[in-house]
Amino acid sequence: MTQYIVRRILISIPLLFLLSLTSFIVFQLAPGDPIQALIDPEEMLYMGPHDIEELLKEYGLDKPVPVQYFLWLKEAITGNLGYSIQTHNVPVLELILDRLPPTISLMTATVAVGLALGLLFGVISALYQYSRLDYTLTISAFFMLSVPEFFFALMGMFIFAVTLGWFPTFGMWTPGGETGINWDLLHHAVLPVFALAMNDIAGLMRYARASVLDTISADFVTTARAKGLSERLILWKHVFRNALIPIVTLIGLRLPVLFGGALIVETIFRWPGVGLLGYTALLQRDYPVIMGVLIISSVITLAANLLTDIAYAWVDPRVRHS
Amino acid sequence: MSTESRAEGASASQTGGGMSQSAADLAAEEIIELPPELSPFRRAFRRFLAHKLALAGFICLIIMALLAATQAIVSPFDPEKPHLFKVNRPPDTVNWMGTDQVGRDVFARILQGARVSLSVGIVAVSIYVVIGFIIGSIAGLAGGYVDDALMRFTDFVMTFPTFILIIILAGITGPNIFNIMVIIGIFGWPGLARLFRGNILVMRELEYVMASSALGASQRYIIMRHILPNIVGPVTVAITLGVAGAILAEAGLSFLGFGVTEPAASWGSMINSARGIAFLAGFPWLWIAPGAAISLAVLSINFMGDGLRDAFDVRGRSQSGE
Repeated sequence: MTQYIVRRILISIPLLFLLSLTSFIVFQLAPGDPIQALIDPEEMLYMGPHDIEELLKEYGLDKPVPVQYFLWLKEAITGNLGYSIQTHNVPVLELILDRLPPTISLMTATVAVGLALGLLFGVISALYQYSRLDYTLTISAFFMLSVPEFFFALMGMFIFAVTLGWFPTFGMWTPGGETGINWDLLHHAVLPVFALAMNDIAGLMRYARASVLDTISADFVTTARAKGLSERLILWKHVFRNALIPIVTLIGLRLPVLFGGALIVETIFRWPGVGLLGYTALLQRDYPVIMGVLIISSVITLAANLLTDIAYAWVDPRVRHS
Repeated sequence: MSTESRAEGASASQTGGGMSQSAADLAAEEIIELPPELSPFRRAFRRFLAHKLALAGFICLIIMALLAATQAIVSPFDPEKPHLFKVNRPPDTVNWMGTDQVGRDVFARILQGARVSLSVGIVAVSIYVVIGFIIGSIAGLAGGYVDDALMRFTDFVMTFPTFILIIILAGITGPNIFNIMVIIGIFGWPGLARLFRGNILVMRELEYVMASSALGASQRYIIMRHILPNIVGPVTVAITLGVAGAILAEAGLSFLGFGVTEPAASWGSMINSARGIAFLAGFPWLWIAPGAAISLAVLSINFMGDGLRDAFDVRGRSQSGE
């Protein structure tokens, strides 16, 4: 197991390197030069070309691009992702760390809801295969996979927040109210979480249904039946364990997609997370912040993939020995 | 190795190959006996026609495409010309879906949006089919280090939060329909690359392919004559579902304001301009109509993909192959 974990971590290192390179290249493509962004335009009026050259030298921007990359990488590894242009030079990392908890909690809740409902519906669908219930669930899964999350979000907002008034329309807490993990937060989270979770519920439901059906017809289940085990024991000990555990890996794969969805849902519900931060930064062309958002979300995705792989190897010994 | 197993999961979830049962089995419960003298493609065609939901999706899509193509004839209104005397009118017999903030007919704009969405979907997917084919077949044919390197890279692209990167690139390069097509296109290929590679690897080991190669057939002949015709099924399915994904991506981008911009209409940007809470509650037709259009288009394509999967019996083959 230890050997497996070490090997898996070693694979991630070149990936991290590639990732940093990709982000660097993307932002080399961005229009405008960083000096102009950094300096007050009024101050710029009193500066000659010599002063600008001096500044370029000071920031290392006179060096060739590959050298700039390594200089940047050295800083990035130590946690210096640069400074935000729009918010008067607040460190990017600080801005993002502030916004990370809302996004992480939104995504965790979404995965939890998606898993719980997806597996539940999938198992029901499989156990009552070809019933009217199965038919209804499968067709609804198609709907949930086809409707974009922002349309779900707007419909949810229109029906449950505006028309019925059951839920608030934006934010994490009532303005002026208490913050922290409380009922108010839960109340605000229902609509965004469900808008984001629809896709996961449907995807996991279809996967769980197929997986349970495959397992039910496996030889070891027939053997268990022949031994005279009770149906409940067969389902819980043999079928569900084998059918549902592989689904763990799907969650790691969903994360990159979930980050995109979270960005959209956060902008709709004004959920103060990393996605909303990135979106506002994009509108204001605050490139250091955008770059930070890209890097942090990719690092989290990589880390989560690493964790799901390890978790999978831990629950299923076949993976680590192959 | 775990990255491998994860990748299998990925290809399964992308092409739906892992989900061994679906709405199709419910729609066409009895197995249709087909005359054996039909060619494989004729048989696939017959099976597709027997899949009711797929057929419905196909017809729906054809109607949408026709309406989009003949927009100028079908609707008497100019989708881009403002009419300041009739602003924000609810649907009536003249303006079937009402009018927007500057008095443009919503139905005419929906049709214009259909043109944008369908063309973005098709062009973006065409771009990534080519990239996927090149990378996948090089990896599959070359094997060894080349294969390893290319597949690691594919893994990397898969773990990247692509939508975030797409948003950022679209935000940086500026809103423009051609940028959108290319940006969505260059990130969509990993699933197809895996599909091509996997099928080439499996097929190289098949007896008739080995026989052909023993008889002196060139690699090029083998690919064109034996491998490609056998991959048509899974690739068609992947392309169909890919178009659905690309349409959703474009809608998401335009919804955020980084896609198609005024005065031209796209479904996503129509919703974007109607998302304020006042519009949401007061003029719901402005966002319900385009939202329903996106959902209907994507749902139709997903049903079609499901029907094609059954028609080409994609699962049966991938199961015997792996």
